[in-house]
Amino acid sequence: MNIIISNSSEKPIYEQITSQIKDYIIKGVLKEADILPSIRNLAKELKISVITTKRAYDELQKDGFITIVPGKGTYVSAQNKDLLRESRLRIVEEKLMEAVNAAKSIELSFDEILEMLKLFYEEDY
Amino acid sequence: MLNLVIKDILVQRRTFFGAFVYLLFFIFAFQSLEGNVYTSAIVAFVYLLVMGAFAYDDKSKADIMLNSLPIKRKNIVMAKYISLFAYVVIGTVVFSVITSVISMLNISIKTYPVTVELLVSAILAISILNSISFPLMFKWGYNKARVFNMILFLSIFFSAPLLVNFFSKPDSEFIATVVAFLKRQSDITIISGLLSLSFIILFISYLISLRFYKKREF
Amino acid sequence: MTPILEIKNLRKDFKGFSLKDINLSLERGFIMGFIGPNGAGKSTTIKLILNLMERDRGEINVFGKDNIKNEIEVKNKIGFVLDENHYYEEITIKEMKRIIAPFYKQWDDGVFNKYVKDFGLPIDRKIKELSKGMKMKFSLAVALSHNAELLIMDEPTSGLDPVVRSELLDILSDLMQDENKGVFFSTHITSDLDKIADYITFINNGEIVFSTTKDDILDNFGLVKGPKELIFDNNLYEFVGMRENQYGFEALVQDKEKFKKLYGNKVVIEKPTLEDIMVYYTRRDKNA
Repeated sequence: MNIIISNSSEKPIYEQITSQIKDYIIKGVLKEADILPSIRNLAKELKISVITTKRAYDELQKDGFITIVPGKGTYVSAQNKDLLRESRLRIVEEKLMEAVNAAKSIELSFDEILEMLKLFYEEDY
Repeated sequence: MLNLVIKDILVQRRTFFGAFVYLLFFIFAFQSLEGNVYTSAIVAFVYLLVMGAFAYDDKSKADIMLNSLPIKRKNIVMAKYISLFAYVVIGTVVFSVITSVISMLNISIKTYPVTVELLVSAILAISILNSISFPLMFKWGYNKARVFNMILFLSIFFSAPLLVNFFSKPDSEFIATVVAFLKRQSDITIISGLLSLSFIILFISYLISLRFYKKREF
Repeated sequence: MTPILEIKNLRKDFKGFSLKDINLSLERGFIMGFIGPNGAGKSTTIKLILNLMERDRGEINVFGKDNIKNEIEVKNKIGFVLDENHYYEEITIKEMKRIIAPFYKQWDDGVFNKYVKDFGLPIDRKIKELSKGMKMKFSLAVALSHNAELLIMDEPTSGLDPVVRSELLDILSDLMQDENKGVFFSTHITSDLDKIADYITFINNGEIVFSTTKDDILDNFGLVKGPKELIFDNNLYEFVGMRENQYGFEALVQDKEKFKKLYGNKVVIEKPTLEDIMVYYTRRDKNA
């Protein structure tokens, strides 16, 4: 697992952490019962405040992504398959909307976009 | 607290060497003082070392470090008083060694052994001298008090023989009576009397020093 | 839980300067950066914690205990690194350690030797021959070798090169893996704290300006850059401080979001550094 923080980003650091971890969980890179680093360890490695890492983990726990067991560690929770699928669907929606907006800005027709979509879908990425 | 005394000794290696040389110098240069060579020498020896310790502490601003460590201020003060005795012991031992060596080598220098009387008068002199300068040191630190100290040391050093003369050939009858009375006391009484006086003077000085040092800010 | 360091209504008066109403609190497991310009009162506060000076009013509790009534007990568990390390210059590191160690109840030679090795301290060299960085590392080694729970540092990195400063931060990070310890770190080199501090207390002219989590500060304050026209818009009160140049202005605002809502598209808003914040507050007071 890689966590990359930008100090100059608009996004607060704790949010950057939660997004990246959420992403890994949604994509299945982090699986149920995987252990996450302790908040202190993460703070030390990323050279940030332990309050920041704690906030990130608290948010993730609140949203049901991870479980913090005092004295033992932090684990990826069993993900609700439907919720997971929904999150992933949302990502697809977001990306499609981006693509559509970009296409519209250069006045691409619907058929042209469809053509491109087919190309990408059939290629092996 | 003992650690503080050891610290003063450890930190002043060079001064010690100089002080030993000074003792040697005294023995050779002040032959005319006869037995009092020891007294003067040891008073100067102790003074050099204890002032050296104050100076060194002041220069390194060690007070800041010492007072940040878990050490009570009263122990810092007490240690300096105790170091006086440590230096007396060291100085006396070295002095005796030097004089024995001189007599063994049959050099044509007259040497006078350390006697109890000389030791006690030395202790009294050291007590008086340092009881006045220590509070100055603790109140102002070595650098600021240095001038006072110099004046004090020199005045005592030069007035001592005068005082001794005054008491041996007294002008007033009262003093003559007192001196005669004191002379009639047994040796043990005189010795214990002088030692007690020394301790009392030192103790009062300690209380004053402690009061000053407790108020000091770094 | 009892804070590891707690200062309440601390006051100390000098001729021409006063430390007033100092209030701060640090829990175990965190690093607090104590920032402020030179002369703000940082060293004075630390000296009051160590009882190098006597306070005029207020309370200082370390590990829940009064720092004067329990002076020895408290100092046994405090490790300190002060800006001028006052050691005896003519003796070696080894000898200096031999002088200091006996005063600490829980001195651990094994730990000290490990730090000597890790830091590469030349223990047989005289203190006067050490570089500033080495002296600081020696101080640090001593501070960490007696099971201290609170580490107090007064400008430990002033005069040190960035490499040594970075090494110090690494050491502090390691130290904080133990959630029982606390670090109180005063400095005017705020870049050190931008990253690792958990809490920031800012002092200026003897008074606390703010004391809160670093995240709160860096997430909420904003460095605004915009056209000069905006200055005349009755919004000066929003600015902690402002600086004009020929081509626009730069200002510090306390509530980035609020400002964004008002002027969002007319200005550029960036995340400030602690240094920006310190400078703007200091300049504001100077001009007031």
